[in-house]
Amino acid sequence: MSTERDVSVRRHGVGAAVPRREDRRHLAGQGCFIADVQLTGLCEVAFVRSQTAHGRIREISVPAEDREAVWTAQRLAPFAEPLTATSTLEGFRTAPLPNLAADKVRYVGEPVALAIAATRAEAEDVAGRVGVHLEPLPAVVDFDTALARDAPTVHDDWPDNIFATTSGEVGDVDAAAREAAVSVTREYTLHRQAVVPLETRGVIAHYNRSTGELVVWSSTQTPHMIRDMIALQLGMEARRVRVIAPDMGGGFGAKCSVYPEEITLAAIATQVDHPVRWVEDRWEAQVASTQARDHRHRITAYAAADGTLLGVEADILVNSGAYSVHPWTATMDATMASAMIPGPYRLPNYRFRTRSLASNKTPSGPYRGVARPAAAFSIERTIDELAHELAMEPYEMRIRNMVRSEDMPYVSAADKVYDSGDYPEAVRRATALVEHDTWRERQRALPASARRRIGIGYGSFTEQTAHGCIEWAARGLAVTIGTEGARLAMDATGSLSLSVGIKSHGQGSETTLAQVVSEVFDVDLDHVTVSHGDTAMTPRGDGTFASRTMVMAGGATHGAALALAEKVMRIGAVLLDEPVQDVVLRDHAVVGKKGSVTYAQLAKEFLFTPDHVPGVEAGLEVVHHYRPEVQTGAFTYATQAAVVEVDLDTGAVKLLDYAVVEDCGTVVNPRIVDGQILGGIAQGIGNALLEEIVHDADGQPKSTSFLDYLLPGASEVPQIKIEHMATPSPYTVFGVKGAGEGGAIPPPAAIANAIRDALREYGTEVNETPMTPERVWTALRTSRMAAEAEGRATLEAVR
Amino acid sequence: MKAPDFRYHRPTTVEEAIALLADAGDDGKVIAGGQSLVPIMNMRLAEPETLVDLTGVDELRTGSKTPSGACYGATTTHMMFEYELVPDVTRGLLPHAAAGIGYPAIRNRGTVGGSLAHSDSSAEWPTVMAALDAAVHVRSVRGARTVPVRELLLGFFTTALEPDELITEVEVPGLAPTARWGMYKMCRKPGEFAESLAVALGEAEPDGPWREVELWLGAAADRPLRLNSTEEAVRGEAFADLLPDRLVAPLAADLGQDLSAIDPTGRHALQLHAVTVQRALQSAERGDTA
Repeated sequence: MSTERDVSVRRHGVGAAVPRREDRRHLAGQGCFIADVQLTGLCEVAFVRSQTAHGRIREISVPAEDREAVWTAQRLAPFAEPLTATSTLEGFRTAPLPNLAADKVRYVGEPVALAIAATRAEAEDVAGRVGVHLEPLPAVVDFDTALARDAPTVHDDWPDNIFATTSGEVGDVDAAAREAAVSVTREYTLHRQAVVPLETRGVIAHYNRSTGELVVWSSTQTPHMIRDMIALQLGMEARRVRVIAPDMGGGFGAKCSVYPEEITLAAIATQVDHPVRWVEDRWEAQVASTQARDHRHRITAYAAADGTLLGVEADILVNSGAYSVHPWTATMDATMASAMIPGPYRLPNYRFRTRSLASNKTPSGPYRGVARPAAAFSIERTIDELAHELAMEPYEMRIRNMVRSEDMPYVSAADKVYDSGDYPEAVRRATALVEHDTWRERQRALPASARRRIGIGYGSFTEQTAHGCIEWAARGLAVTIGTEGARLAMDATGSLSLSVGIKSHGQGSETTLAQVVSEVFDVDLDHVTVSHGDTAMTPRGDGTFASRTMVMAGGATHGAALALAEKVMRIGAVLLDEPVQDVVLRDHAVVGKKGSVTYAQLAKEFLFTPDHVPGVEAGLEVVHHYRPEVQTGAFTYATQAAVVEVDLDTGAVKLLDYAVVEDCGTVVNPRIVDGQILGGIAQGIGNALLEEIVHDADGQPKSTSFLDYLLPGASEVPQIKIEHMATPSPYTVFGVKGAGEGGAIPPPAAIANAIRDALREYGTEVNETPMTPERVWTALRTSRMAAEAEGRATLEAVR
Repeated sequence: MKAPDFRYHRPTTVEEAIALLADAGDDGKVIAGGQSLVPIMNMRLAEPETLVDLTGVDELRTGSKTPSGACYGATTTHMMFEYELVPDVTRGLLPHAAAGIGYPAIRNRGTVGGSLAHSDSSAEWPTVMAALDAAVHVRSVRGARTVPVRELLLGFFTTALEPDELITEVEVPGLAPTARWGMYKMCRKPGEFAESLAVALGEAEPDGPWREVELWLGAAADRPLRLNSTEEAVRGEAFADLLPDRLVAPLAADLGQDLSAIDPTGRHALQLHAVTVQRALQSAERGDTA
């Protein structure tokens, strides 16, 4: 249609490097977060949380003077049902996620009761007087105790601690094993992480008795989903529930599950005569927000003498914590890991088994990358080991085996449809961008007596983004996400209001979605308002997660903009008295061959005096719902290169250089995409080197403050070089692919491979994250002692 | 993470402060920078009934030279040492140590007296002041006394101070013009507490072995430790020979650890201490000393 003629002249459209509009208010301290909201009569909530990982509740004692202020499971039960996150996977074992624990506590941090008072400090005083009397039970903490034959069970009516087992085989792995020249077997562990958004979670609930409406403010990535589930768990019609997600300081997946705190506060608000608020403190955030990783993979891979990858076998364990969370379920990570271990490779033979385990740890939920950092760690470390066996440069092994542009679309061993791009080219460019040969020279120039070593490592991945219903259904979700809505209206002054069902919580969607509107209407972004995060103001949408927003909400916005533009052009044609095929939209106006009319003039004419525009139906507003025609997703891919320096005396790892060559399709805003990549890599560095929720044998988390839980900061993140390939996806509007998660996926793999490279003379491998100085140094010491022992044995044999 | 209720006083003289402390009895607590106390109060790990805030007592935020060195008021901040807003008599050791504490915001509020009274051996001042053989002047309504830092620090969060006693000054002896010092802090990220912290003080030949050396180690035990066996191993040794591997055995002896029974975590911690001591010696050797 005619709007597409002017794509190249759009100043603020798709591809424009405009600054983030959101920054203005945030840099001026004018944002409004949950903790900033002021309401008359607002009271504060403090939770009583389990300090024990596993125990049977014998009694909860509340002093008489606190009975009004304290809520327990028993008091709450008539007003809210617990939520059971089930799955359609065969054999999936369910267990309800209690709003407040009733019979047992199953992790440290589980909410047992709550106290309400005028201030948070007073609420904590009341909470401190609640007595929780438990009969302690042995805790299920790690993989081995969870799987032990005589293991205690987290859920009493289960025979063991397995949520579900899945398995599959493509091709013939046994035949590949017989053909192979080399094989490697390794075990890889990614320990448990907290998600750590800068702003913790928070909920406010207010029951408006004059309207009968329950308003819930929540720092959530998924306001429409929260609204539905609050209505269902409270037994209300959803028309009476409004959820508002105000400004948010990040989410990264920790804010996109339905939480007991949201349901509990909503239910209590209907029973008390004042609004209530809970703001998660940092200790709570480290124990009660969903956590991530906690994977152990055993991988065997086979290759031919020329480096051709022949087969991979994967046994995947995921410690999913105590409960399955809605809507992702406890098998989310395991099914994603099994799907993505084949990675960007042409892998003909693949066999896998996954087991998702229940334990006395915080429930697992999504975190930037969802299982793909673990999948990439496994396959990328394994590719390097095969390359070492064959004396190849690991990047050459990658180039040899990757899916090529001529293979696209390519159906992977895990039945994923890779849509577009040139995977080997990303590797080639990454070696150039990081200056591989220069680093190899510097590596060789280090004298043997130096107390440090340099290493180069690569991590590649392909990532399904913005997938539709069928993909979620294949992974067993009861709620299959896959549509997104947008409403676009032009008002009487000719300005544009867009409202969308997603929730921008740091992605800059107020900027990028306005760019999509501007792409069609050619307006300055200041003339476009983007509303999101309020279910009363926005059309239904699923939320912001899974690197889906730019594709899905962008698609919905584009659809709405095209439909509205078509009408605006018809109105313009009438007003200009020119045929509609002769008009275009340019610089805030409908421009014809003879004349032009600004949107402001046009809208005033049409809305104030519709009789001046005969033949055009009423209304300047369009709602459009988008569902991609191809639901297999747009695959973003990248190769990241890390250069490390390993301190032989301490095991400390320092990043000397870092380069990324990535392809997220058409780039809507280069600044925002680069920001997403940098932030993702920073979190990936945390995963690789720093962050771990450590538990003792009783299931007590030992790293719940930033004293012990180290986050990457400016001094841990090097200057990062980024290059874009920008191959449009054939399946999405503008050819956009998701960009939110990719940065976080391969850093553990790239850094582990770099450490391996640095310590090759010693044969040292570090196959678990975070790769702390202790783990690196201990692995180095162990391999040196083994080499010495071997040397002695050889010497004696010679004698 | 909100502190429970407490009474709060902000006196303007030492006399007032010690009277308030005496009144508060066992449940009183002195606050100066609050950089350690406030977080533990918010976590309700400490619940003092009364806080006596010293930041209004101007006489405690001073520093001056004495015939034998310098005397610093107890609420002299880390930042004041870092930028030499108070005189330095240690040829740069005090400013160097101060610059490594936490982050600028912490250094801007945290105080030398507070750090010593808190007695966390992974912090800078306990080890550095023990190595320098500094002493604290202490006041209470019962009188005044002087306590060497080496006798003040009894263990983790434990000192020789009585509940009604207040550190008013820290007296630091000056270093001789020929003295050499080295300090190294091992931590995972800039600004974190030390995993190991070593101070080497002594006399060395120019570009040669240590004639006299005293070694102090923080973050290894519940208080700073003097490393007698390690000193023995270092004395008279050529610098190039002082690799961490050679320091591990004497260090284990100093720390009372059995090398044959140590677990991997303990072994790595010991290694870090050895490297830290080596790097402290090395930094002295390189002339990082001002």
